[in-house]
Amino acid sequence: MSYMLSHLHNGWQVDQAILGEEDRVVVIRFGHDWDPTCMKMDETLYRICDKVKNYAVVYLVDITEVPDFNKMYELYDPCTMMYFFRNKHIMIDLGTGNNNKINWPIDDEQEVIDIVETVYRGARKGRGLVVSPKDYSTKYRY
Amino acid sequence: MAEKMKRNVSFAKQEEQGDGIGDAGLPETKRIKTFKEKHSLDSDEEDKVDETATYRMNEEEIEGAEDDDDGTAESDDDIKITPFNLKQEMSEGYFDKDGNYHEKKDDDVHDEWLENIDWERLEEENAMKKQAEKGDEADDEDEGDAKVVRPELEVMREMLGFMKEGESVTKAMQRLGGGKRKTGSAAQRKAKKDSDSSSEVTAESKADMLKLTDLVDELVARGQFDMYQYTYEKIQHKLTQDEEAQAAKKDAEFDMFAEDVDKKKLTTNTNKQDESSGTGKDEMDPDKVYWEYKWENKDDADIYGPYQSEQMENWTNQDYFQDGVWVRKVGSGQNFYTSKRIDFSLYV
Repeated sequence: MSYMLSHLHNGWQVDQAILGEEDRVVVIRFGHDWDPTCMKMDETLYRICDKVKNYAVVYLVDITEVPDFNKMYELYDPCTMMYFFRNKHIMIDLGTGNNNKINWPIDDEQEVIDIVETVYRGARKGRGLVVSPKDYSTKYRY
Repeated sequence: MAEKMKRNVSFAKQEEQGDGIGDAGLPETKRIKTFKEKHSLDSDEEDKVDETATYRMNEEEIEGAEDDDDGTAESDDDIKITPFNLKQEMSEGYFDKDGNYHEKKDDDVHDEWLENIDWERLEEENAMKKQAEKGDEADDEDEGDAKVVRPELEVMREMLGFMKEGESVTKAMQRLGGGKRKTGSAAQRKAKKDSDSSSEVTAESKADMLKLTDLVDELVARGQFDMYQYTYEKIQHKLTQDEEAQAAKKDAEFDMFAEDVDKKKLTTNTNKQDESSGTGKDEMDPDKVYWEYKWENKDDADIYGPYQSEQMENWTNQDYFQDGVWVRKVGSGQNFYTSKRIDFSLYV
């Protein structure tokens, strides 16, 4: 499903992707292309990547092919989405308690766009932590 | 490599760093204490210290002092014994009511930098600066846009000469400078090589780039920090907006003298509105974010708006939306979010 989203195939490429982007948010989906959770997420990302191209760029990373970051970013979920701006990881208060990443698939395009935009605006103003417009805590309480 | 190391911090450590900020406050308070005479910073804590500190024990009250001649070290076989030398202790400090010994404070301020600050001169300088600022403000009020704002727009106008449509300032600089930007993929690099040979950096375009850089620098120095991101269209939009504003101002000036003009102004204003609503959405600035809100998260609830982010921020700050309202950006689809989770200041 993710033919149009570019993959990063090694740690160096991931680093360069994050480093090279000067005024856009770098959205990275860590996971596996074959994973149903990731497929769902990728589908959404694919649909939004053109709409947010002015302030964000989306990359996919296979965590088996590129295990470099698994430990650093604690990538043990089937699908993890993280945001970077100017080589800085931007945290998001999602209401879930984990501000580091989104580790569930979002199928609403607008939700993702809103999060990415909030991240972009926050990061531009020097915030390291932004608040996502939607509170995801109620939905994912066990 | 260094960059990579920077990101190599795991999350747990990041949080620890955040907590560490609180601890950093300790030396701060310590430093302030040393300033006491100058700033008279009196916290409760300080008062307490003063109460006990005011009472100093006399030499006679202290028991167990070994009243030796000069208090020089005695020696017992090979081992030197230093007696409880009250004279020396008293010269270096004092005992408080509870018998705690305090060393004299002046001896332990050892901050060269702090000691070297000439406080009087600093105050003078500050006063001068303040006065200068005040003077500037007065000038602003007197001459209005004439002195400060107009050059800014002129600079922008000049910048437009160097830019092409659809270009941001950064892009224009890259173009004029011959595209020295790091190119990511091998294919891009190859493409760059090809284009490099065809479009060599002429001295003229380089001079243009330098001029453009100067202009942008000037604006950035004035506080337009996002100048580099401005596009050709945005600058143009700003210029036309200013022209309109100035025209309106002129109209307003007329009003003072003749009331009849009011009607004329009204008609022109409505005309203007008609024009802009013809092109865009009721005079909405495309660069700004507008919000709609409703009080209840129901489909049939009344929707208010659009309002500017500044307006929304003000309302939020004034607790007008105490229990939160449901907001959405104009043109962003159907999702309404609670205003409690939205920081409107990000959108200003």
